[in-house]
This record gives sequence, C-alpha cells and structure tokens, in this order.
Amino acid sequence: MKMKGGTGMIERGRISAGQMALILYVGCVGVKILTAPHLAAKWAGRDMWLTPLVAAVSGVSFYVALKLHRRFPGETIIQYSPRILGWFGKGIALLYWIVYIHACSFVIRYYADLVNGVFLPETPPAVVMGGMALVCAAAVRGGLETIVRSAQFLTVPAFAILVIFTVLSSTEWDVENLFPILERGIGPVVRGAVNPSIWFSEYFLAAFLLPYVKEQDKAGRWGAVAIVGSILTLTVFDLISVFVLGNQSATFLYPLFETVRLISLAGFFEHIDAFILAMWLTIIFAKICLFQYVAVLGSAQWLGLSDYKPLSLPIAFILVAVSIWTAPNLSFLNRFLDGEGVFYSHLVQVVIPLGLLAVAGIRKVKGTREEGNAS
Amino acid sequence: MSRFRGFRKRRKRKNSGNDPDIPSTGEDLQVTLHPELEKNRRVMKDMFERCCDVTFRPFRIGKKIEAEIVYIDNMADIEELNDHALAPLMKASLTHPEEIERFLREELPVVSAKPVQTFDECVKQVVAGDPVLFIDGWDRALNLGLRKWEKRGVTEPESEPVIRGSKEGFIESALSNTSLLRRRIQSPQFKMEEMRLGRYTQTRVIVAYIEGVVNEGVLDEVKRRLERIDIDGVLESGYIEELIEDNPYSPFPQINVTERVDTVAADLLSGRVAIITDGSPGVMTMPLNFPTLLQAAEDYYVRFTYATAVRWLRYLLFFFSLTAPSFYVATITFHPEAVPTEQLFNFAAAREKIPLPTFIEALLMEIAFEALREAGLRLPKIVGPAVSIVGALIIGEAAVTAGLVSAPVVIVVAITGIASFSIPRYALGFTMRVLRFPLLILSGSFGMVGFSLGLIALVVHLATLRSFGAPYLAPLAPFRSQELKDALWRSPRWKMDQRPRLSPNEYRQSPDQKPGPEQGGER
Amino acid sequence: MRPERLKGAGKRALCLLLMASLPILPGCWDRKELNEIALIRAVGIDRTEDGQIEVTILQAIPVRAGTGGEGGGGGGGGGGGSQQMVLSARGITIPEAKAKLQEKMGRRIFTGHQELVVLGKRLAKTGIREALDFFARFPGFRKDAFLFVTESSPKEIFETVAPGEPTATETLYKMVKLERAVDITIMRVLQEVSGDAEAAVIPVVMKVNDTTLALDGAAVFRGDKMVDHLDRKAAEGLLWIRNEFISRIINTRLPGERGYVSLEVTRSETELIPKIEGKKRRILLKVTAEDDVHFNGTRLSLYNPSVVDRIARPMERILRDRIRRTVKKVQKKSRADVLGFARAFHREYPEEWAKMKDHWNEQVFPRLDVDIQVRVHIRRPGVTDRPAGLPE
Repeated sequence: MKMKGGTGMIERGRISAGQMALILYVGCVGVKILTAPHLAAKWAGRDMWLTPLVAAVSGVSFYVALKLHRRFPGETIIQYSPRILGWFGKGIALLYWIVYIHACSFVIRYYADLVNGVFLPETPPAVVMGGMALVCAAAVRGGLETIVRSAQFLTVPAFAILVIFTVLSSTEWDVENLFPILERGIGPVVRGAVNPSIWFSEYFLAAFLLPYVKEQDKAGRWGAVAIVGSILTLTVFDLISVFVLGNQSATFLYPLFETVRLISLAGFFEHIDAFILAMWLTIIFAKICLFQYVAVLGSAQWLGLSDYKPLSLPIAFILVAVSIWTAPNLSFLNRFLDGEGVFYSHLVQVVIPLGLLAVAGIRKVKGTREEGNAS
Repeated sequence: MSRFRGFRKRRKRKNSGNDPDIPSTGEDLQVTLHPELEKNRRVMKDMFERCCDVTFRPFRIGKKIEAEIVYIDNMADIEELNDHALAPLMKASLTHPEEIERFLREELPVVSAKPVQTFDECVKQVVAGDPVLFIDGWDRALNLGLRKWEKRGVTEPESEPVIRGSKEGFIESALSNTSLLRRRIQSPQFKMEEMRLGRYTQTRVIVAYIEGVVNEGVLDEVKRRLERIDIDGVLESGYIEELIEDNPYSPFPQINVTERVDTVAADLLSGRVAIITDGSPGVMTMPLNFPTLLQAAEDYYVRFTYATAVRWLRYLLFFFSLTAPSFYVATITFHPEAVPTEQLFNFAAAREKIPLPTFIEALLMEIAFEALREAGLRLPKIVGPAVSIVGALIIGEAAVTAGLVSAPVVIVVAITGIASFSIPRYALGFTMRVLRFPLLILSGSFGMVGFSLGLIALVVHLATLRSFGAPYLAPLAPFRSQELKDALWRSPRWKMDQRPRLSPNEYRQSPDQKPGPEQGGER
Repeated sequence: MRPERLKGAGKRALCLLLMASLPILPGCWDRKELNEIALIRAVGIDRTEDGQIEVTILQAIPVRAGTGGEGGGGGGGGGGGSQQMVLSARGITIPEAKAKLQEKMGRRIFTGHQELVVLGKRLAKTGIREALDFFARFPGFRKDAFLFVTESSPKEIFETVAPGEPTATETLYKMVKLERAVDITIMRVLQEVSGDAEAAVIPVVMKVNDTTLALDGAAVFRGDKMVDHLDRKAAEGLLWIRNEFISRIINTRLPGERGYVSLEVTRSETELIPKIEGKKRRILLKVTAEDDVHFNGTRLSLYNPSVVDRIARPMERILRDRIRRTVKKVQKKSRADVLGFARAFHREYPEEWAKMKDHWNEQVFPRLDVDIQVRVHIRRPGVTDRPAGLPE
C-alpha cells in the first residue's frame, strides 16, 4: 500500500473534469430516471418533483471527497484511509470495497429486474446480468479512459433522445396535476427525498475518480455542474411523470416506461418503450461500469496489486453472484432503497469520510505527493 | 505478434548457420568491385545465374577498353541506353582507364550516373532496373539511372469516385506517387523519407509528412514501427498495415487507405503521416479517427450545407448498414408491440406461412446477399452485373414466392445492402459486413437487450482503440468541441481555421477569411 | 469482436462456438415468432350470473393485403367473411380465465396490440377494480387501450362486424379516433378512480343491429362501481364540462325567423371556479365557445354583426340548458363527481378540501350550487355571408 505513495499510479488513464462530471452525473441519475418518481411519490404525492432539490443536500458527499482528495492528491480512499487510521483504516478501506460491490450488485439487480419483469420474462436473470457484467468488465479492462469515453459516446445521444421523448410527451401533459403545491407542507417532501438522496450520496464515488482528473482546478466546478444537472434532470422527469401519470405516479415501478408507452409519434409509432429500453441500457451500462470500476480498482489497491485489469472479469462474476442473492425480490429492494438504505449510504459516503477528514486534520496526516500529479 | 516472434527466431537460427538462401543482405556482397572486368563479370554472372531476364552486354569503349552493361530487359530504357550511353561510349576515343572517370562525368549525356563501389549496390541497382556499366581497369561500376518500368497511367480511382474534384489517383509506382504529391504540396517542408522493406522484394516504402505540421511523436512512432518490420516481402500496403496497427485483432481499420491524391494531401496538411508503398496504389495515412471513415473527399469541395446534410445521411445509413437486420429481428420477434398495429398485421400476414424463424430468415438472406456481392465482385466484369441483377430479382422474388423468406426481410436486407454501399471507405464497409452477423445473433437471442448490449460492446471496443496514440473516437469521445466542425458537420472552409489537436501547428489560415460583399463592392 | 480477449486460439474457438450456439438456446426463452402468436385486438371482461369472470378475446387474423383470392383461400378473402375470431372462457380471476383461453388456442396470446377493452355491465356494476389491477400490473397490456362499457355482453359487441372492416374493433377504434369524445383509456380511468373525486366515466357502446355499433352515452362510476348511465345528450354535456369538447353541430332557431341555423363549435373552453363563502359552497362553470356557421336556413344576412349576435344568444341558452341538465343529473341521480369539481376545490381550497373529501360524493357534491355562464363567439360565417340561393 504505502510503497505506492510516490511511484507510478495503478490507473494510467487521465480524464478531464467534464468527463468525471458526466460519469458521476450518469451514476446519480442512471437508475433514478427510470424509477422517478416511484418511491418519492409514495410519500410526497404530487410534490415529489421537489424531492431532488431536497435530496441534493447529499451531494455534499462530492465535496467531502474533494476535500479528502486535496489532502491526499493522487490517492483513492482505499489508499489514504490506512494512512489516516493505520490498520483500522485498512479495515475501513475493506468496508468501502464491500460497500461498492454491494451497491453495484444492487444496480445490476435493478437492471435485471426491469429487463426480466417487463421485456424478457423467460430469459434467465443470470444471463441478463451476466451479459451486462461482461460488457462492463470489458470496459473496466479497457481502463478509466475507455469507461468515460464509452459513457460519453453512448449517454450523450441517449439523453438527447430522452429529451426528445419528453418533449413529445407534451401532448399528454396535464399541468394542473401539479396543483395544489405543498398541500401537506414540506414534511412529506423530505420523507420522499430519502430515496433520491441515496443516489445523490453516490457522488462520493468522486473519491475514486478525482486522482485521475487532468484539470484539478476545474474539478470542483464541474462537480457542481453535475449536481445541478442531476437536480434538473430528476426534477424534469418527476414533473413529466406528474403531468402525464398524475396520481398514478406512485403506482408504477417504472414510470418512465409507462409515460413513453402513452406517447404516439405522428399517430403511427406507439409503444416504443423497447427503444427507450435500448437507450436506457446505455445509461445503466455507464452507471454499472462506474461502480464496477470502483470495485475493481478498490480491490486491486487494497491488495496492493500493480494492475487492476486482470481483476475485472473475476469481479464481474462475483457481482453477478452477489446480485442474485442481494435481495429476495424487487419489493425488498425498493423497501431498502426507501428506508434503511439511506442510513447505510450516508454513513458510508458522508459520515465516515467526514470522520476521516476530521481525524486527518487532527493528526495532521497529509499525502506525500505534491499537488498536480502526472499529466 | 506471436507469429512475428517465431519468425524472428527462425531468422536468427538461419543467420547463425550462415544459411545460403539469403542473398541480398549477406556480408559477402559488401565486397568492393575488382578492377578486372572478368572477375566482376564472374561474380555478377554467378549472382544472376538462371535469371533469364538479366542481360549482359559486353562491348568496347573506343574499340579498346573492355566494358559490360548489365541490365534487365523491359526495366531499363533500351532506347536511352543505346543513344545516350552505348553510342557515345563506343564512339569515344579513350585509351587510358584514367580518362574514363572524366569522360563519364563530363561527356556521357545521362542525368543520373553514379559510380558504385560494391557488388551489393550493383545488384540492387540492376534488380531495380537501372543498367550498370562495368569497365575493365576501373574498380567501380557506373549506375545509369535509366530504369523505365511498365506502369499504368494516372487514372481516376475507381473505388473513390467524385463528381467534383480531382480525378487523379495514385498508381502502383511509388515514384510516380511521390511526384503526384509533390505537385500538390510544393514546399521544401514536405519531406519524404525512403526505406526498403521485404527481404526479397526490397519494396520501396516512403514516409511522407510536412515538417512543422506533423506530430513528431506520431512520426517517430510510425518510423519505429516500420523499422520493426522484417518479413520476406511486401506486396501491398495491406502487408504493412497489418504489421503496424495498434490493435491487430480489431475489425476496424486503424489506418486510412486511399487512392486519392487530394485526400492524402489534405491529411498531410492536417498533420498526419502518409506511407507510400511501391506496388500499391493505396497510400496509407495515420493516425485515423473514426469519423474520418465516413467522410468523402468531395465533402470538402461542394457547398458545406449540402456536405453536412449528406454527412448526416451517411451517418444514418452507416448505422442502418450495421443494425437494420438486427433491429428488425429484435423488434419483430421480441417487441412486436412497438410496431405500428397496421404494419404489424401486414408483417404477420407476410410471415404467416414461413416455417423458418425470423432470425434464421434474416441470417439466410444476409448470407445470400453477401454471396451475391462477392460473386459480383469476383466474376469477370461483363458477367458481374448480370449476376447481381439476376440474383437480386430471381432469388429474392423466388424465395418469397416459395415461402422460404418473407418479403419484409428481403426489403430489410436490400436496405442494408444499399446503406452499406454508401460508406465512402471500403475498409469500413468490410467491418460492417462482418459485425452485422454477431449483432444479428445477439438480437435474435435477446431482442433489444442483446441489440443494445452488442452496440455497447462495440462502442467499448471503439473507445479502447487508438490509432498511433490518437483516440479512435475523437473528437466525439473524448469530446473536442473544436474538431466537431469537421465531424458532426462540415463547417465552411473559412471557419475551419484550426488543425486537429494532433498537429503542433494550430492554425490553418490567417484570421478573417470569411468572404463578404464589402470586399468586392457592387459593380 | 468482444474486446476482452481470451488468450489462446482454443479459448477463442470456444467463445465462437458458444456465440454460435446462442441463437439455438433461446428458442425456449422470449422469442415469439409472428406466426406463433395470436394478435389480440380487444378484450372483453364480464361477470357471469354465478359471479365468475368471463374473458372474451378478439383475435385478428392477418390476411395479406392485395393477394386476397390466392392467399386467403376460401375463408378470409372475398366478400363479407370477417378476419377475426372471438373466444371466451370463464374463471375466478382474469388471469385464470386468460389461462383457460390459452388452453383453447394453438398460438400464444399476445396483448401488445390490444387497443380496446369492453366491460360488461354486470362487471361494471359489481366493480372493475380487479380488472383495473390486472391491466395496470401486467406489463404486456396497453395502458392506452380504450375502455367501453356495454349493456349487452362483450362477446356480442365483438361479433358485430361492419361490412368492409376486418374486425369489430376496427369500427370502435376508428370511432374513438374520429371523435375524440370517448377517449377514455385505462390510464385515464386509473387516474380518475383514484383521484380526488373517486369517480370516472366510461363510454357505453351498444349493438344496433348485426353490423352496426353505436355509442350510447356514458357510464358513470363512483369508486369502481357503475352507478348510472347517462344518455347521449347528457354525456355530451359532460364533455363540455370536462373541457373535452370536440367539434359538434348544434341547431338553433331564432325568434321571429323561420328555419334553422346550424353552428359548428370549433373550440370551447370551460373554466371551473370554485367558491366557498362560509358554509356555502358554489362553483361557477364558465364556458367559452367559438363557432362557425355551417348552415343558414333563415333569410338573415350574416353581413350584419347584430344578426351574428342574434344567433349567438339562443346558442348560449341552448348550451346552458344542456349543461345544466347534465349537472343536475350527475348531481342528483349519479351522485358521482365526474365533472372535475373535486379537483377544482382541491386546487383552490386545499384546507377545506381536507375536511370535505371523505364525504364528497355523498354529501358535498350533490348539494353544490352550480352557476353556469356560457359565452358564444361566432367567428366566421363560412365562406359566404348571405343566405345562398336567394335573390338580392
């Protein structure tokens, strides 16, 4: 571990701050655009479009990651937490590794549940998960640059097409569904923000990306752009769901698909949700890739390996296995993401990092490397 | 890679064993020439034993001094040789060998006449077509630059035709090609470095670039990779291409190959490196990025609005050529609800009596289409069109009537075919033709999910690819907004003021190139 | 093609082999060939006398267009033969009945193109929640399918094929598309039934004779149960109030003139303005309509703006009467707020709404004071302003 301090980094690729922002943004909204506002609407009703704004508070995790990064430039949390806390820190690093394996398995599970539940009911879930995990393993093997470039190439058009579809759905809009606003006060909105806040807290993943960003000075600004972008995106998707589905927003697990199914293009193309699925797969691919990358990189760093790429395939298999037993059913998954999950994700992604930061400050531990790593 | 290593091992063994079958680079040939003609002649004759095309012509200079010209029929310009070398030499009144050198320098009317000292060089010149003159009593030979090869005239490149633009195409002769380029770029900064590759073929390979514009890193890398090559022969630029690629397993071309002079000149001006290979009209330029493969030379000669529109059409058709059959199969067999109702009923009616699964149907038709295309390509030109028309009409129609395939599949395959013809670079067309099948299999197995995952895997691969260090998907990923103007659309010439980031020489033109009425005024 | 390359030719060959075997594998998974699925275009659901659910499906049989004689053989082609098949089965729940239907068919039931749902009256009266749940839950069901209620059985409706149309659904579907009047989808009903008013309307379809179907007003639902059947006129008024007006011809007579004037309403807008004054709850219905003159049977010249006004006044009265009649009927007889009043109150008076929402349909809604204001603007007299066919 420590020997790696000054020598070459395990990840040789370098990304721009904008690319980091994009992949974090996709990581945040990837699942949520599909399910928005299912869980939020349960609590907040027609005000659920305000929940992303509240939930974005959890985006503070990005700045915690940034602060830690400034203190330990060129290192990920797996590397600097032992530096701060010794063997206990090594344990914390292991915790992060486990947490991200777990989180990634959740996303894979979500994806597989959608595909199996709506599109391919008879195809074995292991095949559906395996296919995705394999493609992601290939991307992880290609390195960080490959991941962000694929994400860039795939998700930008995907989002553009989603925007077009949202505009097309305008014929189905009933703006009056929005009123009255905040009928029951802010309470339900805050409760409804629980689920989105989990996704926002995942901005902490920046702790694994920041060391490899070329333009260090721009990272903070781009992070803000990503967070604001996530708020806007989620709000827009929530709003469209209110407009189109009205009080049924909370009914459906995948409101985006229900909305798209109601759209008719030129009175001719209807039920094009399968094509939206194709779009969404590119987005969820980017998200799974990000998590899988973190899991792979984390494990290599924790074990002190000199290269993480050979681990990508074995970890893909682990992920598929974990995804299968991570939750007994979709209801459990949703319950978790709406309840305990919020403590879990915030503990790991906000509280512990803050603690690390505090201890590092008290013990005056600093990274060995000077600012501005190789680029 | 592994094959190459094996080859090298073998070669080492041969070298150490002093294997006789390596004639050209062996050390024994580094011997200098002998003053005695007879000895020289013997060595040369030994060397060219059983080479019926090598002619030895003994004669006397000024009826006194023994001399001999060695040349190869049809590779040397016999007329020139007669009039400007043999005739003056025979008529010369030389008696002393000492005078010979002066005579050759001052009175022989041949432009290129270089004295050579070793057998090695003699042999090289002879096999390259230059006659070599041996003179008794002179320990050198004279290399007369009178080679004249049979070569094709400069014609329009058939694979890349344009309506507006130059009709000049490269030919097989490297020297003609360099002259074509030199005529385009008349600057001393335009450099062309020659090297010889192929142990037997000794193929002339020329690396061309513009100094100050080219990316030095890329240039060095190109040279390094070329120098690494050690094979028996280079017969086509394709040999070199496969030996210097970044990812030898990728189905995607990583080096641009073109027969168009203007395309290569434009690439050179963008800071790229060109490799001209003797014997091949295809000139390679590198690094290559993916959008380039979808650009035609003509894009830059016609109005930019039209060029942009055509480019978009081409992107669309490119996507079609890759995905149309898989998209059809995925939609029809996995997501029929997405097809408009009326349309689906038509499809269903057409498919009603077809026993084959849609997926197999599409696969069959695709294979049939590829077979037709291949047959049309390989058959003599006169028969070719007949095959394609007959094939398309008869097979398509008959297959539908016979209930083997349904009409929609025929249409889809036909659209795919047309779309694939619109890809301006043939190499990418090959790629698409190959990749269509795995994608079809994935779509036939997992519907839209397979389709999407297949495309994602493809993009992942493209994102990993590099061509001489340059990311393949640039300027889209990594995103370079400055270069989009030549990728997503084609900006007008006066706006394309920057070279790609690759080149250290940033600006192409002085600012304010935008024309306007205020410059001319009303007449 | 896969970027992650396994080293060694053997592994690569194995990969290729696996890839090649892929298409054979999923034959048993989700692939559905078009000639192995039954394309369902409409589903009928009814309750039998013994309380079971009866599901009726209408399967369309694809026949190749154009090549009727040769392809269709004897059955489908030629003249009046329909290209549909109607089947029904019973069960305790809808999925059970559906499974029983499947047993009767060689092809897999595919509901991705099912565009119509016809509910039998008995089911409507006993509650449609089960049906709605099924529609909402099953992903293969279109939630933008149009809903109808019928007095007779769905089966009867499905068997009424108009000449020239391949299936019965075609007629109904085209009716809906033509007059957006009855554009009630599953999603819409889901929203309304669980909305503020907990009431919905679904159009009623009836069989006129063996080849003709007609719309027959609308069924009013309180909660998930049908409570009333509005006739055609009342249903029309309902549409005015619900702001769903479609172009429709209205005839009127002018005082002191012989003959009718026909107007076509081209645009109309209804505003609901709720008001709570102490204990008194009232609502103002403000209708603004724009009309074109379609027919002028009187001798009046529309050149004169005052004449245009003279036509507009009786129009307003007619509309007001119609709307009032509908409101009365829904308030007093149906006692189900399908007019959107609940939503209006909720929006304007969220606090008061919380107090009255529990007994809205029973107590508040029937006692609401409804004021109706109609304003008619005649925009264009057609392309002539004079009565045609008369001397100067």
